[in-house]
Amino acid sequence: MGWNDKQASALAKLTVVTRPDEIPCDDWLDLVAEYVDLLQSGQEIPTRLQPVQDHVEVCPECAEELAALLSPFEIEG
Amino acid sequence: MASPSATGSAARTNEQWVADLQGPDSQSEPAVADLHALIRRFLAAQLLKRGPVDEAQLDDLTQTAVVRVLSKLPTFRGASRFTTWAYSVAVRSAFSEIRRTEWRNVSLTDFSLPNSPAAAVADDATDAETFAQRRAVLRVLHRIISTELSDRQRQGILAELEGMPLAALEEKMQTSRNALYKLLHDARLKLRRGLESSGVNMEEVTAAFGL
Repeated sequence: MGWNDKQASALAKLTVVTRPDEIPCDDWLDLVAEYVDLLQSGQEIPTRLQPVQDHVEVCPECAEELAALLSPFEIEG
Repeated sequence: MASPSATGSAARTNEQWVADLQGPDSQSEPAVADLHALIRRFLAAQLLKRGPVDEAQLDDLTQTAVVRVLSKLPTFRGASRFTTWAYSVAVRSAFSEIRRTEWRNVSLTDFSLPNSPAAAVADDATDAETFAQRRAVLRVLHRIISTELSDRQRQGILAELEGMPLAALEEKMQTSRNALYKLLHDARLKLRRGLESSGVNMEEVTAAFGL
């Protein structure tokens, strides 16, 4: 038995999206709030925050967290 | 509807948040209560998107997240709104706990490198040429994983292919998130450079796998 189609595609994608200059998850977490505020206020994202966007191409967990931070939710009371 | 950055009835400036949370009990207790309420509402909304929300679990995740935010408070640089920063810390705390719990009963020994890289036959939707390209890519990747990655790199990559989140993997490998990320990043760089040195470029991989 070899890798199934899903695993094979995941492995290929992991390889393709890899960049030499990625930031790790904890560094990403230090920057993401500023990135979210700028994005939500329609301001330009400075070059130094570009790694925040690049990181979520590689890391599905941080991508899920970014989606949560960008999603609207009901304020009660 | 409001963005997660909205503060509702507990509006404070960044400076007020930090001063209140670090102040004497008479000042910090209402601020902590406001922070707790904001994070609970935020996490409730996020958890609802994943499925039914268990109130006891929500309470536990909220409490842990608030403690985490307070412990990280000295690192808040004021580059964003305080609430956005607090939500980012809270969602990392809560989602990581959920991910660890979901994978608690899975062992890394459950994952091993397959003997051969690819399935023997193509699915109906894959033409012969594309299938051959995929097999060629997978053969190289299989060889690199087998011979060029360290045991921990191999273990981490195989777990990732099974969908295990980093939050669970860091616990099982008894390492930190950043150290794990570096381990896997180094492994992925080996895979990419190994493919390139075998004459396969990334455009070909993208096309072959429809990425």
